[in-house]
Amino acid sequence: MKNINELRKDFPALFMKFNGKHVIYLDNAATSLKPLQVIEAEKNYYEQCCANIHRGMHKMSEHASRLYEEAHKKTAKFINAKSEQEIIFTRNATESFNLLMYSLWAGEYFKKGDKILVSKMEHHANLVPWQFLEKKIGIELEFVELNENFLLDFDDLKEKINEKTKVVSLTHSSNTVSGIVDIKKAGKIIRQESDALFTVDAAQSVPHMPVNVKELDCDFLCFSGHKMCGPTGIGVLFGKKNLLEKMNPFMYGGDMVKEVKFHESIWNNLPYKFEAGTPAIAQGIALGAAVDYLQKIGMQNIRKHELELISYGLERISELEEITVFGPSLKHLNERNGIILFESNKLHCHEIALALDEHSNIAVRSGMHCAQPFVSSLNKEGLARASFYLYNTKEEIDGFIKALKEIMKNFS
Amino acid sequence: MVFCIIAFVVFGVLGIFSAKYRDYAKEAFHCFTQTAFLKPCTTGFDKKMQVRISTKLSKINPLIGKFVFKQFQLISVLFILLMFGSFFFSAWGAYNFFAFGNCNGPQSNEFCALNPESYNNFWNILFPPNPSQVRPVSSEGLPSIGPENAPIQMIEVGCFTCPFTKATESTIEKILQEYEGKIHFTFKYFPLKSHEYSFEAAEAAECARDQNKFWEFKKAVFLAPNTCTDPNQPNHNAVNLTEAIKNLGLNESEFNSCLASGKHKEFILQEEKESIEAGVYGTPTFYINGKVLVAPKSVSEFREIIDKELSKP
Repeated sequence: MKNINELRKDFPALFMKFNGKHVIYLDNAATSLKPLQVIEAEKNYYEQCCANIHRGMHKMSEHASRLYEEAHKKTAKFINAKSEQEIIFTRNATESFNLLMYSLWAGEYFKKGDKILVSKMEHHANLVPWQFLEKKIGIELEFVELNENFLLDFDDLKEKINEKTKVVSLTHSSNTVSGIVDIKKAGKIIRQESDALFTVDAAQSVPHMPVNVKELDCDFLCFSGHKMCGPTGIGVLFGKKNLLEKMNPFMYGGDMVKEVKFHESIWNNLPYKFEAGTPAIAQGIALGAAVDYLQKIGMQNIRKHELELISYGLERISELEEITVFGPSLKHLNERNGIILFESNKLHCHEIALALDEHSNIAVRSGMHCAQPFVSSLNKEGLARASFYLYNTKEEIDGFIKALKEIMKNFS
Repeated sequence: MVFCIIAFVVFGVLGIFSAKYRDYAKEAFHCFTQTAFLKPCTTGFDKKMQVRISTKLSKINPLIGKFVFKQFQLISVLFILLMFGSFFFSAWGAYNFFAFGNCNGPQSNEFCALNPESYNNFWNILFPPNPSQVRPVSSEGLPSIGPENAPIQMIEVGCFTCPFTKATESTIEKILQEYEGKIHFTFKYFPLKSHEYSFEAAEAAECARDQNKFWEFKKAVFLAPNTCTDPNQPNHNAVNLTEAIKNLGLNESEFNSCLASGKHKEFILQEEKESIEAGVYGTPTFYINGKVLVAPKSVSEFREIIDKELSKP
């Protein structure tokens, strides 16, 4: 991987100062910082191009269309999808899940009594849409347990899956307890036991490690651009082409149609069948730039760097007796992502986060982390979370631990 | 909620001067109204500020930060009590000022920041006035000496119990001697409320003037010990002045009944009002051919102006 100090220069937000001090940004699970290359790509669209896509015969429109389509191709290659037809641009992972849910529902895929399986540690994006169906149609929403190491209990998955299961939707990498799910193993179980569609929440995996949808053999996969150095307002739904072709569109209007008559329309080809209206063109192009940036560094390198950080971070945080960490232990390091979820027996999680910010401009998150049922089962007041990414350093972890120690000393 | 009340007031005031505090003021107000209606404060504003303030203080001194964090509620309650206490006393002072002319009550001559007649007026401390802001006053109907058509027309605006006016008396004597025949000198009454017995002394001076003994009265009074600043002696100035004018040859019963009748009260009040409206801010103030000199310290300050005026064609 490129020298870390050189790499950090790509991220202007790292050099922001508040009260004369730089920020230590450890909230990457919420959103990542953006490199200059991505910022430039979005800026260049507006400065040099700025036309709408698929709507004009002129050079500017063609140029914009080409860049936008290239972004689809790059993203497809990034996760080893068959083609850009399997890559639908949405607003974010949440919209990707909603698209999937509404489209399946509209296609009468579900009936009362059908089952949807998710794990207990799912993000709201992969829970609340299914709750809607639970209320609307009366499908059965069931939860796969975690084992004592906060990893998915595959025995429980096997036990709960049956012929009624229509969708199994699992996180690849938890945004809370940091456990990485063996999606290949889960996929094998699902295929063996049912004909359910297998959906993966890859919001915390695609930005941090190599993800190969062919190897994972999932039917759908969702992630957000803003967590992988891309801009906000862009996300991705990967879906197998044969499935997407059979599904109903999510939104209706311009660009998702090939031909429109007064009383009927013919849908456009994939992926545009699911991209109605003028899309987030600048953001899509910038997502392509983010993909380029990450591929240049190498996803294996990013994963390796994060493993070093998480190993060091866990070791350092264990020096604090007042702190309890939730997640797989160091023994299961390879099944962890770069997140440390923790609580203090002396301070509320919001107090920790505020004090870290005020003390040393350290950005962490506190609360339920968009996984309220699960996090509140660990601590009903919520938990604090530090999350690392490719530009974080061991020195920043030292700063984090030092500030945490002082805060524990001063306020408890 | 306790903290939110104080925070709303503090950030509300700060928000008048700086936009960055307005969001805090809004949040504090929201928190206060929520808890006042027995609903939970959803923003956690008080908790946030507890941590922020404590962390800032702990950078200065960890023990202070820790103490403030732990006792935040108690400290908030204390500040609330102080705030309401100060509101009460401010309102009481304002009531006294508008009802009786002095923040401290009807019988008081103590310092009051709201009193525009006080030397140590609050605004004068912040924005010290200067002589160029003082406007002309009239010398009509006032005691005066020297030729009326003298080239130098001098008015002294003074207070009989003011130590500064007293201190300038010898300087005036010197100037009047030095420039004899060239100065028409008038004394204008400006009794200061903060000086005990000042108004009565001005009335007494007018009563003495009724018996053509004004200048003797003035000299005798300024020679007498001036202890108007001694709060331990009730009516001490009355005692001193009575002693001082004993040997002036005044008809005592006429003088006393003049004082008792209050016949010069209106006149003195009008003189006082005119000086206030002219912006006179200290005694003694001198007008020398319209040029203003406030509490001069030396003869040379007078000479500079007088000589300049005399040199004019």
